Amino acid sequence: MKIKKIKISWFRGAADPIELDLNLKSMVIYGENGAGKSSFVDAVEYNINKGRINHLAHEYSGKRQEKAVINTHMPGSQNGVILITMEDNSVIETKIQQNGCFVVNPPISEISHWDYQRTILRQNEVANFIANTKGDKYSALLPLLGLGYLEITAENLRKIERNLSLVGTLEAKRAEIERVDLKRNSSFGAVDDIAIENDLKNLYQTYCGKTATTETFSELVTNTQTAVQLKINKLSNEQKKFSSLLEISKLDVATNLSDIKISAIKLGESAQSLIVERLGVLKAAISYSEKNKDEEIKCPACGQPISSILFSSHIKSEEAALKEALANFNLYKIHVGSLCENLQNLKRLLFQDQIKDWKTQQDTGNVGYIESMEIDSIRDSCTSVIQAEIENRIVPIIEESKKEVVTPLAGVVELLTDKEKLETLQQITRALALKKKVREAEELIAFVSSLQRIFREQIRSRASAVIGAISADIARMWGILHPEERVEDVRLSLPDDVDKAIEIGLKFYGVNQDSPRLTLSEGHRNSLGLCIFLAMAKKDNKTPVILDDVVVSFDRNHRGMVGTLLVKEFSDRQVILFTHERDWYIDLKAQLDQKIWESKTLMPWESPEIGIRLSTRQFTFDDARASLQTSPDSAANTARKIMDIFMAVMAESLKISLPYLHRERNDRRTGHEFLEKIASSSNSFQIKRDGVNYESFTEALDDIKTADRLIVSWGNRASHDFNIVKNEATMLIDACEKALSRFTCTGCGKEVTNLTNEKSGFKQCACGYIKWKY
Amino acid sequence: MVDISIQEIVKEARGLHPEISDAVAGKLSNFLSSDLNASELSIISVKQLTEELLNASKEINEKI
Repeated sequence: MKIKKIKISWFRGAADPIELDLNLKSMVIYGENGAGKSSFVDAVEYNINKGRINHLAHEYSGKRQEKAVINTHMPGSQNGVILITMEDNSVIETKIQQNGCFVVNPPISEISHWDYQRTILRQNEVANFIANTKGDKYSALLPLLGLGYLEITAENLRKIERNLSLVGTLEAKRAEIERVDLKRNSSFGAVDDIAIENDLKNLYQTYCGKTATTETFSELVTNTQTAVQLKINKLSNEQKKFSSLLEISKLDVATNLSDIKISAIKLGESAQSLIVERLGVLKAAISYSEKNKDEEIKCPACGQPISSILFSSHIKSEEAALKEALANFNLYKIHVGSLCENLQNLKRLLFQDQIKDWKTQQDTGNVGYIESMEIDSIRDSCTSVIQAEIENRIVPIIEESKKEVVTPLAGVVELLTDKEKLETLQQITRALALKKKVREAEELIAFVSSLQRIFREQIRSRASAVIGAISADIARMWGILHPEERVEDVRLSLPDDVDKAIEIGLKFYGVNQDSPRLTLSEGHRNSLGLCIFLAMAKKDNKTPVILDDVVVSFDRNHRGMVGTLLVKEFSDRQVILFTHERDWYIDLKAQLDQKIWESKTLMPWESPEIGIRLSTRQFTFDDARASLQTSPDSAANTARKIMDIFMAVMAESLKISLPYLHRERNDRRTGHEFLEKIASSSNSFQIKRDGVNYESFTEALDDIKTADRLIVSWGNRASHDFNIVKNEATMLIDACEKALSRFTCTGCGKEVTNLTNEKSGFKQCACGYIKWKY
Repeated sequence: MVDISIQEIVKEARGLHPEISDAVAGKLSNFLSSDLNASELSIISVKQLTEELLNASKEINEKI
């Protein structure tokens, strides 16, 4: 569906309402830099992207882009307003408050279903498709292929997959499970689950006096622990003292410290090898990138650039090194955890009444140190200073306890051994719950990973289908833009070995090239980007095509070809073309079919309060008038340049021949040369004043002569001497504008070049009121 | 918006992972079908969704 009108007020550069009436036609709109062309493009994007304009998304534009979307000088009583009238006369009204909150009425419309990537192309986006790396091209092209949504979904799934491990604290849970497994081996040996369960049932029978039947593993542990504790409570004071000291003597803090030191050394060694490994990778990557930048891949693990060939082996070695470092880190944490568990037990035992006397015989400083220890902080950071303190203050106390339990006390040792076993069994029960959670998370991760893979397969197969469908269009459009240039077979492709990559290949003078960057100039790459956009815009799509200053890097010849391309390929579509290139605008006015194209010019920008203004004049002399006050020289010079460009195009259309000049001087004819020639052709320019017979169009010829005379005297002086005054410049501009207006019919409004009669050798306006015999 | 059957994709993934519960599949299906998924998730959204998924993941009957 076409756009009929775009009306904006206090939105971007607009102040009072300004309406761009497209009249359901295609349109080329000229305006100097800053005249407000992009404000109309932004208005359409704002509606497509539901209140967001991509090029305004930065830290200074505000949460709702209110600092950029609203005219800085909007009165407090006003709103920013966008009114878009569609082909069916439906109107989409968007009201934007000063704080950026906005309301669209109706909320869902034809325009809200449009795809920005296939509707609008801006100057800075043209080159995105020909980006440096396969990955960057993938990011730019995938949304254009209509697959951005699937890519974002796959990317979100990847984030969730990665986060499941973090949120589920899987590494910490795995470390705890490993610690309990070590303890299980130390308490029960390398036996299976059944043997352990039988052992528990025996303990249950011994202490609870009955056979286990329907009780769960956890219930058996709890019940037996209760029975054992009851029995310990009934011990004599002497037995209780012995049992506490025996427990203290078994706290193997010295081994804990030794294990921590060993694992810390291993951790340091693996960190060192990692650094060496990474430096090696970096060196290889730098060396490679200097040789061939186009084949760079950014390693997702370490962020370093690396060749595609080395990528696989690099990832494997990186992964192995990281796994080893992680295992060492986990082992270190396990040993710290064991130490903390022993310290916690020691602290608890030292508070028991039965060893009160024994405690008074120990070093009071050491005892005080133990009693004031913060176990959690040691768990977080077990520094070498803390390790030394523990070794000097705690290990001697444990050694002292060992002296007290050299001679076993009947009944107590066995009871305490069983109690210890039951504590291990209790930890095994807790570890089972952890194992269950870990397994749940692992299954979830595998599921999310499968989903992501399926989405990626979908992306690939759909991208492949779309690429196949548009490749012929891209090649054909390229051929129109670059006829007789031996760059052929332009194509997109999906590499087999990489997931997130799209390649662009071509044949350069018969030689296959894997990348446009190898041989094409910036202008050529940009025109390739334009072809890719237009090929996608053409596919399965009926929205208008909006091009905002996309030919900046094109030379005049190739800009002309863009006009040809639009005529050939987009006659059935509405194209809205914004440009600040005055000569291209004038070329297009002559080149494009006036039945389906219109043209408008924007006046130069003055201030936020005045805002965007459309010129009522047909030509671009408003640019010249804008500087009349401050710089008459510049104003007159601009008028002369406009005449140079316009008259060159007009003369070509009127088939005016001038004497051949030496080489490229033919391309640098001035407006004066053409005006002089036209002024002397008194029989060529004719008017049907009485509606029947043609006669010489003398008024037009007089105006052309006047303009020519003033250009020669004042236009050239403005260019060379810089001493023209305002009145002179004003007269020059008025004369030039009047002369040009003579080529447009006052009756039908069409130019004298509108229709051609090849047989009789003349051109005329649509109604035939004025004509030019060539 | 791409024409794609989220239900079919989730069904295909569940075929590979039959142990996944209805609750988890339902949550992911809703997430993939929602407008939220049209833009990249923030860190907070990812964390919240991940926690919901972990809470909804199926119970496993476990011996020792």
